[in-house]
Amino acid sequence: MTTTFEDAVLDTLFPGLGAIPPASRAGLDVASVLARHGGVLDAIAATAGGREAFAAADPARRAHLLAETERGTPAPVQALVLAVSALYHASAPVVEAYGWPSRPPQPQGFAVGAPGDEAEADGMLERVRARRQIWRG
Amino acid sequence: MSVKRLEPVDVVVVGAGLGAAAFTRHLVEEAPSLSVVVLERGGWVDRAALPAFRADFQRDVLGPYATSPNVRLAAGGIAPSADYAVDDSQSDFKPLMWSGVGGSTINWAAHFPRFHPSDFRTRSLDGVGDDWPFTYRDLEPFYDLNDARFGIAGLPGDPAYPPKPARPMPPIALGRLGMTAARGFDRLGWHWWPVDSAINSRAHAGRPGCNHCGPCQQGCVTGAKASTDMTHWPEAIARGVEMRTGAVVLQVEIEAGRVTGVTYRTAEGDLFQPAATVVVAGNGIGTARLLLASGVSSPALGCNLMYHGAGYVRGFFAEDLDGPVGPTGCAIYSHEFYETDRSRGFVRGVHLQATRENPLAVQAARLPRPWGEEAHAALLREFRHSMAILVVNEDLPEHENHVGLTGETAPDGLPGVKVVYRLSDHSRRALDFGLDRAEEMLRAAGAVETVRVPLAPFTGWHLLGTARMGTDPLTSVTDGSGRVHGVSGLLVADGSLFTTSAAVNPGSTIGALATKVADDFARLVA
Repeated sequence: MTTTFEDAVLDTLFPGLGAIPPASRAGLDVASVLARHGGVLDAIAATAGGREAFAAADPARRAHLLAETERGTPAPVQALVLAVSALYHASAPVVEAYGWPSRPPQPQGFAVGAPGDEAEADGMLERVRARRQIWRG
Repeated sequence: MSVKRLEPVDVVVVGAGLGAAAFTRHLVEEAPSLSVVVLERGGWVDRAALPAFRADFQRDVLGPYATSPNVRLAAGGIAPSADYAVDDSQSDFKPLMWSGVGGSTINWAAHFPRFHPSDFRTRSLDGVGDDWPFTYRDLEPFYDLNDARFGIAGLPGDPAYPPKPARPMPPIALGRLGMTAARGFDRLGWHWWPVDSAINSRAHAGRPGCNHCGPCQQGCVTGAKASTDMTHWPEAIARGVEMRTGAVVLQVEIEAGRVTGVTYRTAEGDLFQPAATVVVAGNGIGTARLLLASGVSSPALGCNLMYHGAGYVRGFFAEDLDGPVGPTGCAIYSHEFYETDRSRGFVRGVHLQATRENPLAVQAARLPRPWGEEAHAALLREFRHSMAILVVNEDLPEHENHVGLTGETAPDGLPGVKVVYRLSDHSRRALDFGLDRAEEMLRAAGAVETVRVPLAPFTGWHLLGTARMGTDPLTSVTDGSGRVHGVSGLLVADGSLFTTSAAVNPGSTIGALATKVADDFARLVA
């Protein structure tokens, strides 16, 4: 269960866009990530003048506050971003919103190639073959 | 701590990666009477446990199954790869590897090019680097043998190479991305060719054809991608080789200029394995680390570390390019600019390679600004619509680029290891030239926008040159047969031996070279 402040941070990092859900509604299991990056959350709150102030701000203001925190402490903020990003962009609703199946790559795999590819490639490769040797002895 | 002494054997091989596997498999065929023990610090991969069977596989790509051992360790590590930390804070590229049975063939891209003949004669032809102690023609039969043992998918007739044996399988399907890239090269009249890949394009040698699942670099769950735990070790073990896993070699023991065996650590304690010959094959970092820790004194040991310079240009296309499917590194390449043309302002050349897309989370992590609304906008624009043209240049040997010891003892009992590497001006010029050409090609292929990445730090797969071959003990560590100068019975059989690096992936050449080292050794002991 995340707090309003944590949701506000998550949604500032990854807001919704069209069919893409915001991070707070993507079903992420973020408890351990937020616990690991507690210091960054404190820094964001400090920049905003408190957790409530951050949560109450409009999205543009929150983005500004987050960017300001990042300027002051880039590495910790970037570490939080990457940790949340890995969860967010691997979550089924987000992957599907980007037009990709959320199933595992195996055992089905994917089809690659289209009818006609081979013939077209052969035609192009004929021109390469016609150049003869291009390596040096 | 007491060290238990074991029964002597003829040969101890340290490591179970590509070089070790190629060496051992060939040795047991050529000299079947030898007793051979392999000591591998990691374990065997359980294919059923690899990430591609899990819906959340993308998280593993960035954590416990990352290609960097340092990232894996930070994520808690994974059992089959017995990783050790590498201090890479002074290195422009980050070392990537796998430390288990199969070595980095477990998580490699399996792009399998040979070197060009000119790559063995850079000093004679272009006045840089050094000539290898033998030529392409000398290595050619071992390339052929090695190709057959891995099983190569490819297309004959490439004019960038001397003729190669027929491949048992056609190339991996190019797909939309490969076809788009091919059209770009074709429009410019530049060379391109489907890559040779150590991946089955159809069932071969008891392994299935690739079903293009995507995450090759987290290990292949079907076994379509060749790795030496499948292609080499079962055969070697069937012929009597003993593989001991979980065995960290701490020291090659040397007395009066001759090896006596190795001391290694297991969960049960430290052991001494006497042996007449010790073959070290732990890659350009692991081999140098162990030999330095063992007191091998050679002015060249650990020096001349070569990775390959690498950068890339990403192209964004209006059309769908398939997305994150198919083997990442196995589509097409161009050697239009591989051979020296002095008018470019540098000698040697560049390899251009079309690279398939990454899963969504990996693409997202690489955005210049990876959060906020603009991250969504960028990702929507590029996901399924981008390709990267990787530019690889020939990294010349530089004495100051090196592997060294940190002076502290690492958790595995060996001295800690660091890499010091700075990209040379030569590499920078070559990469910049290659990036210009990549941009030109992407535009010709129809890219609506390109983004240039001048240096790609996480491409440090190729760990080469730190125990280089040569004739002069002052400038080389071994002779042309991998025998360490001044230490009888000590051999090296991996990429550490490379005199120069060429500008292509080294796996094929590591395998051929290790096979040749085994062949030379077998003749000697016969």
